[in-house]
Amino acid sequence: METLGDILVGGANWLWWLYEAVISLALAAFGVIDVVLNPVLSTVLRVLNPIGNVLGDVVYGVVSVLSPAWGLVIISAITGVVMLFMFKYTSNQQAIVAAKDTIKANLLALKLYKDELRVTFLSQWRLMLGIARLQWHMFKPVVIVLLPMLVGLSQMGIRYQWRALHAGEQAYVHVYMDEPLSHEVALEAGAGAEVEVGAMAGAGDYAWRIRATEPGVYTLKFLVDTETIDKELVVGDGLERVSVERAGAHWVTQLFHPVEALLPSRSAVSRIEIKYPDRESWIYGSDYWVLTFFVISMLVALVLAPVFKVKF
Amino acid sequence: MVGRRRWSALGVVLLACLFLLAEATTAQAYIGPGAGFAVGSSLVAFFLAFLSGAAAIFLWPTRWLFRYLRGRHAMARARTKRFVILGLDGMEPTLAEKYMAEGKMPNLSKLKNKGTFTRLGTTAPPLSPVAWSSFLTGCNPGKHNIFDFLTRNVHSYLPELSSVSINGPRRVLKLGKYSIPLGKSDIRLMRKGKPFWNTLGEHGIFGNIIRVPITFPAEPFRGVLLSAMCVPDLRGSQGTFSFYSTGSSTDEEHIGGEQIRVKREGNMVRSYLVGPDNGLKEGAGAMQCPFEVEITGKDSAILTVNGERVELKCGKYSPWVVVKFKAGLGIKVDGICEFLLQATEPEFRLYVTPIQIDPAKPAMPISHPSVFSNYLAKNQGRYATLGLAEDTWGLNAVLLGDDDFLHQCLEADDEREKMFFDALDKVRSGLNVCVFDGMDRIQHMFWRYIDESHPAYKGQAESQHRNAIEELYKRADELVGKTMKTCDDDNTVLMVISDHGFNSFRRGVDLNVWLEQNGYLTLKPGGRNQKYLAGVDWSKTKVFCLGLAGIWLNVKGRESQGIVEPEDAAALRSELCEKLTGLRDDEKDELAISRAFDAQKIYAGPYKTESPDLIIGYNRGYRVSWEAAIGQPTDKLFHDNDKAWSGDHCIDPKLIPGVLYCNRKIDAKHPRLMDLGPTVLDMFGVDVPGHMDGKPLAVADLDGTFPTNGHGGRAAKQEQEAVVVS
Repeated sequence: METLGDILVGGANWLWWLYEAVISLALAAFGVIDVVLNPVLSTVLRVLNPIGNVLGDVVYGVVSVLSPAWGLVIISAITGVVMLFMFKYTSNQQAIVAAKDTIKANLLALKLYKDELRVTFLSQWRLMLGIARLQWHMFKPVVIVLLPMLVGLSQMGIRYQWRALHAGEQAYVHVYMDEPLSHEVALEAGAGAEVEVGAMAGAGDYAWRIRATEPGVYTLKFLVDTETIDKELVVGDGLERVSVERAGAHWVTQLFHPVEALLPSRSAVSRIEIKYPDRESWIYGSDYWVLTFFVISMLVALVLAPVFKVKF
Repeated sequence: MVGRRRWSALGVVLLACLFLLAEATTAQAYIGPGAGFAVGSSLVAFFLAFLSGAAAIFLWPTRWLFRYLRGRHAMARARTKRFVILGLDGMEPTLAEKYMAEGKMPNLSKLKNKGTFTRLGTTAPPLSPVAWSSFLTGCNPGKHNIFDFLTRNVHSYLPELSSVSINGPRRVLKLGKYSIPLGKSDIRLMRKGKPFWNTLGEHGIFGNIIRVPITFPAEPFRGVLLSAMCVPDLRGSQGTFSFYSTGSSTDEEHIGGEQIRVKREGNMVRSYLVGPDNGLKEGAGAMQCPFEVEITGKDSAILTVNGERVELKCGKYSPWVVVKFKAGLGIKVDGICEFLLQATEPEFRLYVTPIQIDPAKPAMPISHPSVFSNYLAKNQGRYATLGLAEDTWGLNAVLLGDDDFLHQCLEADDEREKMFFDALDKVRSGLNVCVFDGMDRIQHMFWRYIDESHPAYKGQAESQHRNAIEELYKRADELVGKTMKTCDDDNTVLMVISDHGFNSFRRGVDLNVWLEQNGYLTLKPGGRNQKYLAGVDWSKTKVFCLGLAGIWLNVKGRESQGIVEPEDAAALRSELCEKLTGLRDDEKDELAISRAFDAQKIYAGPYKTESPDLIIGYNRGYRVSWEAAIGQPTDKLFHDNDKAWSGDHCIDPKLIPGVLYCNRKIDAKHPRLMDLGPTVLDMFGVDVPGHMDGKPLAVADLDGTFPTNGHGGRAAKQEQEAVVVS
């Protein structure tokens, strides 16, 4: 028994090590690629985000008459249909059908010729090739669909992942910079909020505790040495979009926080963050909205794919 | 270098996108339903593959042991590991000899020189369903119950398909206007007897059987099987083509098809495909599938059916198109067909092949196991499933051209070839049988090009099709060459066979007229030229002709309006045999009937009473007339056959043997088709069941010597020589 336990622990350790190695390798590779990718994607998102914001405002303006749950369901369903069509017209449908046929044929061959070990191995190999071919044919539509889809998702994220502060509710605001103590930093809360505590200097940031006073969209003004930087603050009870963070030019941040303009490139501040509370709901609350979106859009796509004759 | 750079760039983009996904949170990982499902289904496929692979590896020793225990006796005596039978329906030995002598069939010549080439005794009558049934059961027709394509209904005298009976489900639940079936349709194979591959399977030997006639519905056994001849189309017929035309003629009915008049409105033509009867709704009739054709140019159009758009070009077949017939309550029946746009002006002409069972979603049991037809469809694309997939009727009715018909034949053979070579690749141990029909169909329809005395020969010597049959034999030779390459090992016995030969069909004999002239058949007033024996006065008719093979007595107690006393039947049969044998065609001064057989004397077995009472052995150049075959008495005994269907084989079996090639020496003077099953069993070391009439042929070992221990068929040789079709 001890030996078996040792083997299991050893195996688990080995797997963990492998996982860590793969992740480290992936991150290292990403770091290298990011150097090339960031200037391109950041520029693309500078153009796409304002468009996404306008479209998002229009769409959510329309569905605002519904409850947030119904709004999410309808948007998910529509997204499923739109993605279905995008997929149909950006993919090689014939090649996808052929690749899927190869996969099915070899799966059936495994069943039909199970006594022939040679056929079993051969069919498995052909099946792997079929899977690889299918993924290859998915590549083009995925690349084309990827950015608009992510922009759409980020528009959903800024509405469902967090909620605006309620009147009277407290929140922390952080200003991140490389050397906080070497700068003079102040916050002018203005209308809509008042500063309760701050500024508190941390290892890489200054933090304030603020209290929201009345519903609306306001601007927090940060004075950093001679520089003035604005940050949007949203107070309300509905499905308002919130901008959690304002940061510099990096595509990942731009993707997740598309609302506000980028921080100036020579600013002492690397990013400003408001700790908005998570939205609470089993359907459209933080993280759950993704699940709802996933299930609804997939179901709609699955049901409508034969109607619109889309193969995937 | 440029290529490498391009690939490197592509690699970077691919990696970037993968990292884009890896970097994203759960919210961003989802990038659309299509890709989501694709990734999901790929994972499922991967998982299934892994599971089944693991299961196959772990269970293989157990399975092997089980197979070994079940088949150990056979294995110990087996003289081959694999047996391959390539059937070329209707290959004529005299033509084969001619082309081999002219050096046009090098591969078959090689096979002949290395092993065996001989004539192969066929059945009486020498019709494909009869002959292939004897091949697969190793029995005479009296034991397998197939005597012709058709038989007669003893109650109504109407013709019926002899090999299969298709009826709706036995029990239905009535819900208002709906009849919900409680069970499957009642589809019964009328062929009796056990195929020899079932016997092999009982000894653990796997069989891969492709398109051997009279195997529908597919029976379970240890192996895979795709049915052939007598598989119906979706309407349940043996193939009903449709022809849509704006021509001025009214809707016409043709044998094997129908002509539908359509109206052109601007550039649009709208009509519908006719499907099977709707059993779900009472009185709903046949299901329909609407389609429309938009004429886009002089030679082109776009067909829209079930929302699918298919480009049509004049003179070019569309690919297989899936058509769906809606029965109601969400139930659909899938079929496949090909469209052939023939003209858009001055008249619109569109030919549609019979709507066949979709192999990917078969509405009837066309394969064993049922997923096998789907496997083939996924492996090579959709394919013809109809028993007689080549539309001979369309060509006969001059609604199809020679080229169009040839295309169908070659396409069907190409599909078959893919199946066959896939089977050869997969089954390296066991039995492989595949039958190619194209040779039979093309010879039926193109014999008029090589027989200058044929009524349908109209100076086609200069036609591009004058060499169609020669080309056909050359193609068959290439197929054999490819097969020989894949069977080029010491463990494979390869046989190339045909079920019968071929000959010209110049004159048709209307036996109903002969019976009338000789006082055996009486017509009702105005009964002449009525089809399906509708004009026959049964109260005064002793004998009638229906089908290709023979004639029937109207026996009291057997036929519903019989008048021949059962005790007089034997004498009447003898009398008819005597009178019909040697019947001459005075107009041409030729012998029309070589021999007439008393079925009770040439058959043995429990089903011999189901046979036509007399089997007619016509002379070369003759056959039953088209009219007599469908029970339509005319006013002439002999008819010139001026149809495209110009070659046939329904004559005296002695005159029309098939071929037998083998890559081993065979020591037999008169091998017969029904000996091949027992030979295969014998070569695999399996005892030949006692009910089989066929005897194992003496097949030599690789070194050319014949085994002397009783196996190898030598012991049976003398007996086999004595039982040639007499």
